[in-house]
Amino acid sequence: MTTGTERDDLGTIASVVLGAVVGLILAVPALPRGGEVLVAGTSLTQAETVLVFGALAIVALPVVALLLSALIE
Amino acid sequence: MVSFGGIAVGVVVAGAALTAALLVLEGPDVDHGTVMGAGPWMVVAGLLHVLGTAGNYPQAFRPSVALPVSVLLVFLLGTVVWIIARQFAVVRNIAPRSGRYLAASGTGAVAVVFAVLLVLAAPTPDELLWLVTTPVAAAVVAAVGVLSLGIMDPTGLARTRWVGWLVTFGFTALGTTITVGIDVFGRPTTAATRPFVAVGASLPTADVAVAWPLAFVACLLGILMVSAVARVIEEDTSAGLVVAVTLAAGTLTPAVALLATVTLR
Repeated sequence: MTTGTERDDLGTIASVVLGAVVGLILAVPALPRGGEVLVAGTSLTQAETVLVFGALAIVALPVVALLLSALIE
Repeated sequence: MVSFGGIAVGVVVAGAALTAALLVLEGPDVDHGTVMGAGPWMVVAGLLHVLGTAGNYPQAFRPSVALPVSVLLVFLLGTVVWIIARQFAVVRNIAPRSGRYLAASGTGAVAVVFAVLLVLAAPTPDELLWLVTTPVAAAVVAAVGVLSLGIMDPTGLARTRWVGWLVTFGFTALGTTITVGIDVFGRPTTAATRPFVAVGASLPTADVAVAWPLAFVACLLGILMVSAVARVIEEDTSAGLVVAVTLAAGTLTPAVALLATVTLR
């Protein structure tokens, strides 16, 4: 039996991260191969690009998740 | 001989059909929030289509990320993520919040896919401006449209609530995007858009824009659809919400794909 709750921040953040992982899986293959992605003038390999986007997702998306928690339901 | 791309599309279609069948069998609690939560995933499907044409996907995968298959792919993946998030709530002894998990996971996916698209497209400030302002304008027009439905059909508005706005937004976003494409980016008219442009050209506003009647009619069509969805919800709430999410996906996803294609040339 489950108990009702008004908020589930952990579940919301986990959902955002899970969605971001799916987004990475879908979008990263579209990036150019051979280090054509530039960050601050430095070209990145595909693996480095994945890490950059992954790190951005982990840092930025929980903030979005908290905003969503406040807005939805 | 069947190509690898054809096999990949077949797997996506079969997976989506299996997912739909499992959803029907399981019958999870679906409410207005669930439909709203599917919104970000519709955007993902549209952006994937653009990535498929602008990106560097291996040739074999391109058909799987092109419309309309991208809608099925996103439906498949979004449902899997949704089910995982719901089960994660259950193991923590929390009543699952369907709409919130779906919206949150979709937002995470949109953020990453959109960021990758921006890296690939490297838009100019002007392009970025239209990319942002077009959906905002459509959202405002759709809100005004749905609220006006409340004057003519208050019961319909009460039954559909935010879902009504989402459906109207899908139609309005498609009309607004086509309008921006013609009036701002000089896209050619088609047989379907030409009558609206002709009407717009005969109006005093022709100096500013000629295709806006298309966005207006699209919004009206969206409002009519919301009224119809409200009737279905009156009979069967789940069926009405399925109709609503289908209508929203059928308009919002191509609107996103078209907007990104038009603005990120």
